[in-house]
Amino acid sequence: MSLTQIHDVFASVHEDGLNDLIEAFYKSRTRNFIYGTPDFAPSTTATITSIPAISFPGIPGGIQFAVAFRKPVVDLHPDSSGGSAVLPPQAGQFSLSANVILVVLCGGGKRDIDPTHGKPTGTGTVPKVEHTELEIHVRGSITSDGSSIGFQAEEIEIVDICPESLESVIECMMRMILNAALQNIRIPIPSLSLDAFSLTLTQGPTIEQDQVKVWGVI
Amino acid sequence: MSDILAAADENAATKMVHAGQTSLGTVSASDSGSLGPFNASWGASASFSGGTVALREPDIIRIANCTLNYNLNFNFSFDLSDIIPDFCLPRICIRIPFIGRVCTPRICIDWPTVNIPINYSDSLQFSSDFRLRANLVGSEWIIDIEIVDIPLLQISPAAAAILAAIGVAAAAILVAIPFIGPFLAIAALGITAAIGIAGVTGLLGPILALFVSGLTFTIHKLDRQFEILPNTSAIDPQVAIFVDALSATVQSSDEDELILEADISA
Repeated sequence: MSLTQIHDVFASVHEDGLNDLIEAFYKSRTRNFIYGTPDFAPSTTATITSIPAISFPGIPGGIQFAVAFRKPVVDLHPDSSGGSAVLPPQAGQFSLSANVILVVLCGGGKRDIDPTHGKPTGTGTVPKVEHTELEIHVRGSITSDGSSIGFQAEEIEIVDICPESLESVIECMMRMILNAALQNIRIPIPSLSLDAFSLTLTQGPTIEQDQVKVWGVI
Repeated sequence: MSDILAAADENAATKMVHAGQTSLGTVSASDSGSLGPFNASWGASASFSGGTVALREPDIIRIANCTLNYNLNFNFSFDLSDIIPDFCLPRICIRIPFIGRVCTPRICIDWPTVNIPINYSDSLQFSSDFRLRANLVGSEWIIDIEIVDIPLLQISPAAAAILAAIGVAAAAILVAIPFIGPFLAIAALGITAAIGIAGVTGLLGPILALFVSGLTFTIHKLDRQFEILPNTSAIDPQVAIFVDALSATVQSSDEDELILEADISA
C-alpha cells in the first residue's frame, strides 16, 4: 500500500522526532512549561510565564506559587514502554509522561527562588518554600486546526497520592494546567514534510505505528 | 525508522519538478564556434518547462517531453570576395577634338566583408532520466535532480529554419551594397551553401547540449537549522530543529512515490 494512498502527499513524524520537536520547543520557549506568580516571575520572559497570584483575603500579595513541567516525553501508539506505562496509549492516542514541580511560598518576603527546584538561588530574606515534584502520566489525542497539530490531554494519572479524593483534585488541576500549556505547543503541518510541499490537509492527523500521519493535496 | 518521512505521488512530484524548472529560471551562455567555414560568436539563453514525471526506483525521475525554450544570437563575418570574384571596369580612353585624349578611371570592385547577425528563438522537447540527490551544502540541505545522460535533441528542423534565416538576413544586408544587385541571389545562396545544414547543426548542437549537459533542477532547499516557528517576540523566540540527515529516494508499491526522510535533533 502506498504511503500517499488516494492523496497527493503524505507526511509523518515518528515519536522520536516528535520528542525532538517538543525538546526544541522546550529549549526555545521554556516559558510554555514554567509558570510563576510575580514573586517568582515579575514579568514574562522566554524562560518563564508570569501569572497572577491567587488572591485570598488576609494574604498580602496573594498566594505565590510556581508550576514547572520538566520536558515531557511522548509515546505514540502502540505502547513502547514494554508494559511499564501507567497509561499506555490506546489506538489513535499518545501517552505523555512528565514531572511537574509545584512550589508554594509560605509567607511573604524577598524571594529569589528557582521554580525548577524550589530552592533559593540568591541572598536576602527567603520565605519558607514548600515544593513537591509529581510524576504525571497522560493519555490524549492529537488535534489539528488544519494548519498545525497540537496535543489534547484526556486522561491523567498521578500515582501514590492519598487520599484518593486529593489525587482526583490534583489530577483535575493538572489536566487543566497541562492542557493550557499544551495549547502553546503547536507544530505547523508543513514542518512535517520539512516544507517540501505546501500540504493542504485532507486526512489526519492520525496516530499509528508510533507516528503522527497526515495526508493532503499539494 | 526516520524521524520525519514525507512522500509525494507522481502528481505531486510533477509539481515539485515544475517548481524546480521555474526556480532555475533562464540560464545563459556565450562563446564562439564554427558555423560551417566561418567562426561565429554567439550568446544563448535557455529555460525549461513542462514534461511528464515518472518515478523509478531507486532514485530516478524520468521527465518526458520537457520543453527546452531557447534564444540564440550569433554573428559571423563573410567576405563576399570568397564567392563573387572581384572585377575591374577597364579604363576607356577616347580622343576628343580640341581636348585631346580623355580616359575613364579604372574602377575595381573589391567586395566587402559583411557582418551577418542572426537572432533565432525556438523550443524543442526532450526526454531524459534525472537522478535524485540530497546534499548538505554549507548550512543548507539541497534536494535536486541531475540529468543522467545527454538526451537526443531533435535540432534538424531548427537548423533548417536557422539556415533560411541566414539567407534572409544576408540578403537584407547585401541589398544595400553598391553593384551587388545582379549578384544578390548568388551571394545569398553562396553564403547558405557555404554553411549548409551541417554547419548550423555543428553550431546549434553543442550550444543546446551545453544547456542540458549536467542539467539540474533543485526541487527543495532547507536550512540545516530548520525553523519550526519564527521569532515573534523577545518572549517567543524562534523554534528550530537540526536536520542531521536527509535522503531522497523513490519507492514503488501500488504507486511510485518520491520519499524524503530526515533525522532531526533539537
